[in-house]
Amino acid sequence: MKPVLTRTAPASGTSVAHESAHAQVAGAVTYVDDIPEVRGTLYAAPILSTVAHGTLRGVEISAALAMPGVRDMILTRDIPGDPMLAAFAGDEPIFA
Amino acid sequence: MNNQVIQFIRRGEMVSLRNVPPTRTLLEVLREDLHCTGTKEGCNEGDCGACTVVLGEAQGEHIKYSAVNSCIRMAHSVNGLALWTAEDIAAQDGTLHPAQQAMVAQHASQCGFCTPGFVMSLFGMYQNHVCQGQTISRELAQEELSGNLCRCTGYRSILDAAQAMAQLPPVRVDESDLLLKLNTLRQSTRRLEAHFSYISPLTLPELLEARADHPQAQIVAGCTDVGLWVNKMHMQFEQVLDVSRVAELRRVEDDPHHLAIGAAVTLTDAFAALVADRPQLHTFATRFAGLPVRNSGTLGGNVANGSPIGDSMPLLIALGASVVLMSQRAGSIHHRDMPLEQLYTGYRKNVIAADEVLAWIKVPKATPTELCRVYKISKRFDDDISAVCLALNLQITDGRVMHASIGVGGVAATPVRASQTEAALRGQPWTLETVKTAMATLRGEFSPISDMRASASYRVQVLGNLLQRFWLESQGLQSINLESFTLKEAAL
Repeated sequence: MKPVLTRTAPASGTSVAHESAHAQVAGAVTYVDDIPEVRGTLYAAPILSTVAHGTLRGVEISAALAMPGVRDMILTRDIPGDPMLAAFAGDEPIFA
Repeated sequence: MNNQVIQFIRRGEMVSLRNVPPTRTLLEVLREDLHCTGTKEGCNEGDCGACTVVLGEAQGEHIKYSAVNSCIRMAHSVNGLALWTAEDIAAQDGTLHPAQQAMVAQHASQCGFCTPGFVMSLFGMYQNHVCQGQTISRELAQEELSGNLCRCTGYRSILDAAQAMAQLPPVRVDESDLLLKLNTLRQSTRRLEAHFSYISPLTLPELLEARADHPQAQIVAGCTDVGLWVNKMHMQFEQVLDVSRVAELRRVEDDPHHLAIGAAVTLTDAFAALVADRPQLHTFATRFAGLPVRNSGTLGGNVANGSPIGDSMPLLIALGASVVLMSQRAGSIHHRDMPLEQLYTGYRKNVIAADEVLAWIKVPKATPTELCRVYKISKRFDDDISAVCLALNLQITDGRVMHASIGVGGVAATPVRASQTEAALRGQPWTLETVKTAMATLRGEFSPISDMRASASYRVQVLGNLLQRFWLESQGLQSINLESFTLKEAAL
């Protein structure tokens, strides 16, 4: 819904209802878990470091790919654009 | 094998479900079978309240409304009831219910994930208080929203919404129509059949017979703990025996000397009876889990389950409560009574035989000379589990301790009686010196473990401190009570 701006509605000092509130209170908002699963949906699981502070020298994925049912591993090299998060500082790599 | 049907009323219509496994939860049925995803799964263990729904049950000429957690409630348990979710309470033309409109108007949602659960707790409050002409105070709103967690909006606006509902144009459930439908449902209530995987007897003889015939069946009442075994430990039960509809066990009998609380009485109703007799227990009662758990779970379930951190047992031990176990053997009904603490033999182990059920909890009534307090130490004020729970009931006559009864939780494998500490107090003058001796005894009486809730040394330390608090309260010091703590907003 587009906010309606007129000269009689000041930009501050007036409460504006949350645009999704009506749907939220009625249980009508769709979250990821509310979307019916399409047959063949793949599941992703993040693999986290077991070392709190260290240098990543490489990722060896052949053993993981050999596990039954594993389709692929997604690594930094698979990100087509900027591999960093955090819009203004750009200091958070999506993957190590 | 399982052609058992579940029937309930939703949106004015009867819903019939077949082939529902005995441990399938109401939330799973709603979201996955009925594709009604407005009810959310947050923690899946009855803490966060995102899954809150309201159940309606015919009670004479009225409907009893209860907000409960659908995530740990077995779907079969709503057979014969009315059900509302956040998707069911707006008018057909889309006009929001006051519980919903107030949330919008007070800016009480942000990400919106917890919102359907809050809306349903508000709907329960609306039916139970606003429709009865009662004003919703800040304190009442806090108490009744104790089972809902929000992690982004903050609670101020939600509490405002609770208090603003009554000012909106009223909306009423058509209770006479609903009662007709519920009564029709009751007429068609299924018979008990031996092959049923979810057995829900309606009378005590039926229950005892079912227990004798199915000693392997998992007994449930409100399912607020068994629901976690299913969701978190992935336990499955081939057969479930639900005691919560047994008419005789849903009563609180008010005898001259004791309250007899049936094992199917909800924690909400059981605590109401206990608080009516001992008003000082009110705060403790409201801190037992959250309202949706208290509305579903039973006092009998808490006792029979016997968790060392279950909150009712320390209190019941201090009050000198006893339990009645019943069974049907060779065609006749047997029962035996015992002090509550004698029920337990080890961590979640008890003396209840395979063909027995816990039927009654008998709680001696307050006497004019008793000094009774119960203290719960937990990280959160409500909706949390005790690190330590200490309940004391002393009779002090002419400055001397005539009788001491002390129950403790969180310090051993079972809820326990502090017998050594009782002995250190009994017959002694009620003085600081006596209390200091008893504090040392209490601190040495148990060997608690360290876990996520508290370290062993903290538990030992705080146990003594609580006895000191009891002493100070007995000397008239009030400012150390939670009861004397006033909410800042409520004071305005």
